[in-house]
This record gives sequence, C-alpha cells and structure tokens, in this order.
Amino acid sequence: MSNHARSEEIENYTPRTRTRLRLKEGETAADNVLSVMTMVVHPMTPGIERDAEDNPVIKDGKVSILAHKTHHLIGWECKVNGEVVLSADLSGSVSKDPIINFSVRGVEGGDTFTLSWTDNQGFSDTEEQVVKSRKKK
Amino acid sequence: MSKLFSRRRIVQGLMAAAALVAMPLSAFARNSEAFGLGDFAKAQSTMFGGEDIADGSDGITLELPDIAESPAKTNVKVKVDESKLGMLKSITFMAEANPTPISAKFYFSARVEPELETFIKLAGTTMVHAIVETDKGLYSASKEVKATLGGCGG
Repeated sequence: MSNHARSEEIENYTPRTRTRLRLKEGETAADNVLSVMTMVVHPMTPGIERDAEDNPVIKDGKVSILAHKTHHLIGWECKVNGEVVLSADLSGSVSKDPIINFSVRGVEGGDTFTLSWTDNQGFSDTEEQVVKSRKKK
Repeated sequence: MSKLFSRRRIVQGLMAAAALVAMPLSAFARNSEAFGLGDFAKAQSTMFGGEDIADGSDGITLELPDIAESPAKTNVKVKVDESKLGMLKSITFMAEANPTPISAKFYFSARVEPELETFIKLAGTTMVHAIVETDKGLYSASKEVKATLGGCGG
C-alpha cells in the first residue's frame, strides 16, 4: 500500500450505467424472456505494481496492487422487482466499460429492472427501468 | 411563503442520500481472497475449496476467439446445458496467464437463462477456463486464446 493521493483519473470519475431491455413475449407471462444488455462506463484499472521488467510484483503470494491507482468494479447486481436474478464479483481483468448480457425468464411489462454496482474506490450507481410490454392491448 | 431550501428540506435530502449510500448490495466481494492470488492453481483451489472439477466440455459451450485481435477486450460467451450438468449456480472465468487469474464470478438465480456474454482482458496467449457450479458439482470447459499483445495494462 502506498501513501500517494488517489490518481486524477479516479478523482475525476463520474459513474454512468446503461441498460437496454427487450421483452420477448410468449403465450403467458411465464414464457416471456427479457433480454438484458448492460454496460457500466468504468476504467477497470487493476493497478498492478510492476517491476523494471514489467512483471507483476508478488508480495506474500499475492499480486501487489497500488492503492492509489486501482479502480475497478467489485460488485454488480441485477434485480427484477427487488429480487436478485444475477449478481457478480468482478476484478480488474474484466474489460474497460464492462458489458454483461443475459436473459431472464418470466418477466412482465411493468416489472422493475434494477442494476446496481459498487467499485473498490467507493463509487456506486443504480439504474432502474420499468420493463415495457410491446404487445398491443 | 415557501422556502425551497428550508433547513428541513436539506436535512430530509441528506437523510435520503445517506440511506441510499448505506443500502447494502447482497454479498459483494464474496471471494476477495481468491481474487487477489497470482498463482492459477492456488486461486482455483481457494475459490472452490479444493473440490474436484470435472470435465464439462460436453455440457458447456465456451465461445472465445482463436486469436484475440484486441486482448484487452476479448469477447467470451458461455452456455450451460442444464439437462446434462444440473441447475446452474455460478460461472467463474479464469485466464491462466493473467497476473490475477480470476476475472469474474457470476451467480445465477433459477430465473436467468443459463448463458452469459461479457468481455475480459487477456495478458497474452493463455488458456481461458469457464468453471461452472451446478447443484450436481463443479465442471469446467477451456480454450486456448492466442494473443500477441497483452491487454492488462495499468
């Protein structure tokens, strides 16, 4: 751990979260499938300390991380009507601006979809959307 | 006469903001120990408690490029056949050559289709593993990805 102040990139970071939802509707609500595309605008900097040969520095069997540089998501979670459907623990080796795409069964128009995340520098964000039905009534 | 920014309003706003910040997310950083390890075998055994991992290649479809054009953004898609392997609980992505081999672990509820797409960094040519946990046990599928330039900078 170092005593450096947090890097400028971290200090100037503004959380941004995007989700794109598309409901494919079946005969009944149980047959519905919600396709979810998510992206968090985030640098995902692992902050790994490297030696003169650019190899990662290992201390006590662990990769040495520079506290003032590391900045990546650690927790990520999606809910439908408050119930967790998919969650994740992430590291700095997930690509910059993490994209995670998946599908949820049994979602109806009017349900609330929520994506929340938190990172290792104390930033977090929540994006909430109401699922839209495309069926004509 | 109404004051837009009365003391009461400001206090209410601050309390609401504090409640949002304090809102806990279910179980963040459940395996922080394993995530920090640099040795692939050790990271894997720490993450999965040393349990055996069976070959799951007939029930796991792991899609990765043969050659990563931009290793910092390598597309990975995985699909699990639950009729063969059992009900999906989690998928962990590991890249052997990365400084910290564990990329991410995803926890699935029964409502989520057993498939996922994301993008990971690769620090050069490496074996990439998808380790799948179901109600029947642990299974893995692997693929080697060739990469000339590392994508783990910073």
